[in-house]
Amino acid sequence: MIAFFRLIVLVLLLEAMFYLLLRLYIRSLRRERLENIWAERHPDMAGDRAARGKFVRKSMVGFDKSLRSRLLWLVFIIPTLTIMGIVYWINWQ
Amino acid sequence: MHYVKVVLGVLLGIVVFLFLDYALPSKNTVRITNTYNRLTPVTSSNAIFYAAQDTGTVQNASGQRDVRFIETVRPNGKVFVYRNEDTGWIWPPYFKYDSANLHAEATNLRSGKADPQWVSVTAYGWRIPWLTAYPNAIAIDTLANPNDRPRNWGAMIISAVLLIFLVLIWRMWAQFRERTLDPAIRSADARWDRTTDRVTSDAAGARGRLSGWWNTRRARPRK
Repeated sequence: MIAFFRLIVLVLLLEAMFYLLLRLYIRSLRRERLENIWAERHPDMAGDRAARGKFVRKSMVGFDKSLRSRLLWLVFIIPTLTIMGIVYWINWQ
Repeated sequence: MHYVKVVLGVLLGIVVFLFLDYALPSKNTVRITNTYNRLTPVTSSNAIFYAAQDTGTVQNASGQRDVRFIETVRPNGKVFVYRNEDTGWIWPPYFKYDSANLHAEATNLRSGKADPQWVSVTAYGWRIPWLTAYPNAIAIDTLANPNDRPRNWGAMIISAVLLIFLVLIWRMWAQFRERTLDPAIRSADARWDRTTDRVTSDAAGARGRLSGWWNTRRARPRK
């Protein structure tokens, strides 16, 4: 039983780590895209300026509610379901 | 330096291949001839090929375990022995705890030369006779004839997932380097240059020291 709880804790920790890393990653991708949009809209104000920073910050406000960000919770769901699937497949087939 | 890297890369590739070859499931078409338990010594040299201690089988004081075995014959006449042991909840992640059921199934499927019942045994691990290591049987499926070779979907899917994972990690690292690491190095460099400029005006030689080093690290021409 202890081994089972150890597995649960370990899997949760790994999933949480990947959730955080992937969150950083997709936010970084979004920010990069916003910077490119800014460069397209304001060719005269290209580069790292305060105005661009403000634009990016404002555009990122609702990001956690976007579909992309919500789909990230699958990081917790898919591996857990996979493990349950393997347990079923190995022991009840 | 170049050759050292090549050698290390090749070694890493071999290690990864051996690891996958050991841990991924493989299928063999065999005929089961016997199933039994035997007290088996689990020593420090072969313990790595057996399940963790606290899963299913109990080890006695002299380091032996009562391990289930499945003896089989291949279509070409060569013999092959599987062990049948619970893997427990950690490693390798097969989460198998039905070895008693599997053993009953294997016993039920025993057959002789005259009237062979061919089966496909899914297993992971290696048979290393001098280390007393046996592959661990995971599942048994019946087959119609000895030429059947069922596709090993499990190993294929796991390999594909691992490959996707590798690409994802590579992309994440590239993004981190482009957006975080390189700018940080550039700004540290600029700060360093400003400081040296303040101290002495003829420190031109030290300009871009950090990014120069970084660029030599990332863009070294291949010989």
